[in-house]
Amino acid sequence: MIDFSVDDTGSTGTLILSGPLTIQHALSLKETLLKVGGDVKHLILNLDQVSSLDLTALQMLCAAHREWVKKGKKLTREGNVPDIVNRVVRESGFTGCLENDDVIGLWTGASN
Amino acid sequence: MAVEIDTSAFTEEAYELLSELEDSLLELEERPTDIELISRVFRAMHTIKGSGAMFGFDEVAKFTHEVETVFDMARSGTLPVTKALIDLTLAARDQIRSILDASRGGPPADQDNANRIISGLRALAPQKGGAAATETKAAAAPKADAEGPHVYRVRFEPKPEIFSSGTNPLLLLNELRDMGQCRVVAITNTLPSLEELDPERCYTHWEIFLTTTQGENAIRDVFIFVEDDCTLNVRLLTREEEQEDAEPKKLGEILLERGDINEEALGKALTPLGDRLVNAGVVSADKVRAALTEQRVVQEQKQQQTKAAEVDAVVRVPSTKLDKLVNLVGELVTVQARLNQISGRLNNQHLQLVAEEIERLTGELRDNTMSIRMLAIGSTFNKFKRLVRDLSTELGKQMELTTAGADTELDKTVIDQLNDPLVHIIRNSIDHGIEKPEVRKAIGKPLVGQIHLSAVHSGTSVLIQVKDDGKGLDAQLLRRKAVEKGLLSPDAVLTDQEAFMLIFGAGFSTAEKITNVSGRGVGMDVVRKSIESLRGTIDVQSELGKGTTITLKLPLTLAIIEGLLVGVNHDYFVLPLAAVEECVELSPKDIANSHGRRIVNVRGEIVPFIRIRERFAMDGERPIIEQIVIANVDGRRVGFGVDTVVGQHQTVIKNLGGSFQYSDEFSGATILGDGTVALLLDLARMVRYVEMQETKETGGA
Repeated sequence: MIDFSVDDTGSTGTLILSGPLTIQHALSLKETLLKVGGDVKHLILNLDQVSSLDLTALQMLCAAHREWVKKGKKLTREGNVPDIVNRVVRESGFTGCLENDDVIGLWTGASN
Repeated sequence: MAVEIDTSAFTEEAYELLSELEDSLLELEERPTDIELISRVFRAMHTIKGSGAMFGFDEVAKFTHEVETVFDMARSGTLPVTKALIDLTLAARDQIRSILDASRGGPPADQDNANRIISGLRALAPQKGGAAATETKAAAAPKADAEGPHVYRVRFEPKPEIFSSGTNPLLLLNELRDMGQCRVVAITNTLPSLEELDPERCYTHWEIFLTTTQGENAIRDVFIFVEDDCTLNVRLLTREEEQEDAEPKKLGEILLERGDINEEALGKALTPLGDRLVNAGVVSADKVRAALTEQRVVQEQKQQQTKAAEVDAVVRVPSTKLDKLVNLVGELVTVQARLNQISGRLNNQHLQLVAEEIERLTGELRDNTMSIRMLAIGSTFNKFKRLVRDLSTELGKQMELTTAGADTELDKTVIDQLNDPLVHIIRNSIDHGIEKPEVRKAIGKPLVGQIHLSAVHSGTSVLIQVKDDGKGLDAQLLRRKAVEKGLLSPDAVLTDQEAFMLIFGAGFSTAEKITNVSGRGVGMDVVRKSIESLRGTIDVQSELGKGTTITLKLPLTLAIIEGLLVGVNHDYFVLPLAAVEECVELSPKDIANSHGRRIVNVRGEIVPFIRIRERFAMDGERPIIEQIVIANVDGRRVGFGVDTVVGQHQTVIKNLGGSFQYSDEFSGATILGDGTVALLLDLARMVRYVEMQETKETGGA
């Protein structure tokens, strides 16, 4: 499930990703991430309910993350990063793949 | 990770691996100390296990793991390769196949059988520590081929489309983790912008630093299943560092070696240092230049090796895509024939030039496409080694199968349909032909019976021979049996050759008792039908007491053949050109001389003929001079009367629809350049039906 909502001011958006983030859902994830990139100045990412994650999702989140950082968007995270996400990030060697500060703590697995 | 897995990729690969495994085991039985063969068997099982686990075939992985564990002992020399080990491993191979078949909707695999095989294998293993020791060893990865822990740099670059084969690269990384301490770095510098990113492609590659006691081969084994879908570079880092004269590498060397910078960039950076060193008199300018050149040459060599490996890569394509390509080429050949006709009619020089060029290109495209469909018959031959081995045991006979011409190529469709007929023929040779050892000994033959399977090209056909040195066919006995069964009239006169062909008759069997192997009189009938459906012919040569040779003559391809186009009234027919021997004219005088019989005198030889117009009850008047196309049908010359002989025709064969299912005198149809349909005649069937009809009429008279 992918849910994206924007607050009344239109400048802060919350992206809630839940369930399996796998190749079957890759296209809809991409569409949402593209939409997110264009809409808001402050993005809140919620991965709390992600049940599985694969490399296709990791690649997209990584590409999106780079673009958000490049565009100077403010990124924060709410909720926890599930163990499954941390584990896949770690096993796939994506930990620390960005040298910039990891503001959402996704790649380093750190809590906000 | 829950990537949608296409399990067919695994099962297809696994079936191939099982076939290789069987071949290797049969070879190993002959050369039980051949280390390379033992390794081949081990690697096949290791791949089946690894890929089975990767694709969720846990039962396959678990079972194969047990077998692999015991075979690993053979690899390490602690367990000798014996017949018992080969028997059990062959049975295990069959069990894995059953599990795979079950996953494709076949009957469930027999778990009791699996347990029996595992118990048997464990009983063979040296009893040091019993089953527990086996389990422990099994849990470890393949045997180390390096001493002490070493650090390897594994550069793993999957092809972007790797996901489409259902492969999950992360499982491979985890498998490496099982081998030792592992640090994984994802390299994502080729990751495009989100907009350009195709979510179903893999843009990531990895550098893995693995500290392990296992050798490079064990690391490479992890990637066996994806070796065609990735670039893999495994480099031992620590051994280089251990060399006495080796100094720790400079940052520049490491960056260059890793390919992170090129030699030009390094050269620019080093030049000032080189200059300084040269100026200080520490090293000569030549030596600096030589060092840079050395780096460049080594790197170029590496790149060339990579390129060569890429060029040699094999692309696996589903056969349905190939069939579609052949169909399209067939359409193109038809359209090209039409273009030729039109350009000839319009007499436009420019158009003719283009038409000729298209004809040339179409011809090349057709030949290339057909060559892609060609497969060596060797893989089919190899299957029979197992058949002969198993039947030898079952029937208490000693036999040896030899093969020749395994690299002879045939159309894939023909090969696919050839398996069953060959199984029947070989079974028959073993059951009826080869005598029991005591009989062979008594008549002075070598104890081990010989079956020789060979394939050779002969013009546009392939001849496949099954030759045995058994007791041969008894023409008298065959005649008698045929009469007893009412298949032959008692006063029929048959040559020995014709009597031999009786074995292919429906319901004909001379076996005294019915065995599991043969004797039901259905097999050889099926063989004849199968070979005829492939537009092939069968010939039998036999000498009583010496042996029998059955020769199958098959067309190289079923998709496009050279045909002879003939016309009757306003319709067209195609005769396979390979069968056509000559064309003669039939004048009213010839007809008068034959006194109503359908025969033609060809240079003193009387040749019977079938008038196609009469056979198919076609309208229209016969021309004054008819054309008789004389063809070789089952070793006899038979004529086919037509109105006109149009000429040679490149025939793209189309299957006939369901409404023609009872018209088996036509083996297909083709579309001519002007869109007209021409029917392809099945000459052998046609002759047989006419003969049956005439026998009936004569009998009834």
